[in-house]
Amino acid sequence: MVINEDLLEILVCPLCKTPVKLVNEGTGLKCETCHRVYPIRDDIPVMLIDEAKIEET
Amino acid sequence: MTDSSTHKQQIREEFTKQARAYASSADIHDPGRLLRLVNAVDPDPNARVLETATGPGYVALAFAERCLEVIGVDITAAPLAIAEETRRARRLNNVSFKVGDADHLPFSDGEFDVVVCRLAFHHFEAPELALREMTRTCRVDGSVAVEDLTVSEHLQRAQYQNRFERLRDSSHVRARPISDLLSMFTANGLEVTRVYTDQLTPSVERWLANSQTPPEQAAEVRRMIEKDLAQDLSGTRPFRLNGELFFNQKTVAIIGRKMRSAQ
Repeated sequence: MVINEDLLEILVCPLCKTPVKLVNEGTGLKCETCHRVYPIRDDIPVMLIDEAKIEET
Repeated sequence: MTDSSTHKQQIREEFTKQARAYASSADIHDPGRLLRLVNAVDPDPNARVLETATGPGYVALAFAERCLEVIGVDITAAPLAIAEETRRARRLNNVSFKVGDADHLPFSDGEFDVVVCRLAFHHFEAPELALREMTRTCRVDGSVAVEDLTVSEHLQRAQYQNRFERLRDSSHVRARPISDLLSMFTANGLEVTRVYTDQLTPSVERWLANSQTPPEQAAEVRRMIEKDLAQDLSGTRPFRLNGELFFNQKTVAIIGRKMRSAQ
């Protein structure tokens, strides 16, 4: 199943509350403010601060 | 790791281990109890609903039968996979599930008309923080609903029940007396609009089997409940029926309206 972008619109970074955007060919959700990328596993976004990786670029 | 993240890790391990057994536990998916909660909240058909600590998603799915859009969030992925299976089986397209932490919800302020949490507060180390996040993500005039196990208003009796609950399931932190939960609502700027109590009456053996409690701890839990039966120590009023040991777990549901003055 492809992640439905409408359902993602509501998600924000749990740390800084900035809306997140789909990145890395739909495998992650990135916060443009703190640069954290939250993984999407088995079509379910994992919005946990501890599981995010910081990607500066 | 901080104490808090250690506890959250413990929760994730426990609910990954218990996911199937927990999801099949009658009290969790009893349609009557779920309907009672939905009716008590009385959501608008256009409501957008959030359930925190959704586990296998039964509450979220019950609201989805009645409301426009529902999101269920849980810190553990395993029960969400079960929730997703049930969603597909029921052909509900207005509910989705995300992995998220009840203490740091991935949503903006005032995003939902209803924010609900059932049978999870006793697993939280900081239920005050979880309720604050629920209140934050609820719109002004929206409803925040918490249903949970509750314990005696008498400290020692409450401690006795919490002790054997924790021995049975290490992710159990502390069930609160009703007065504590009501104070938490008030402190968050939630006006309590409805309260009801209920009771679960598990067989001790089935309850221990569901949590896959190690034999040594299970023996201690049995010993504590037997002692409770003889000496009335917790208010759970254990009893025997045809040789089988049962006890009563009280639950409370509190529904509050977010006031304009809430943080």
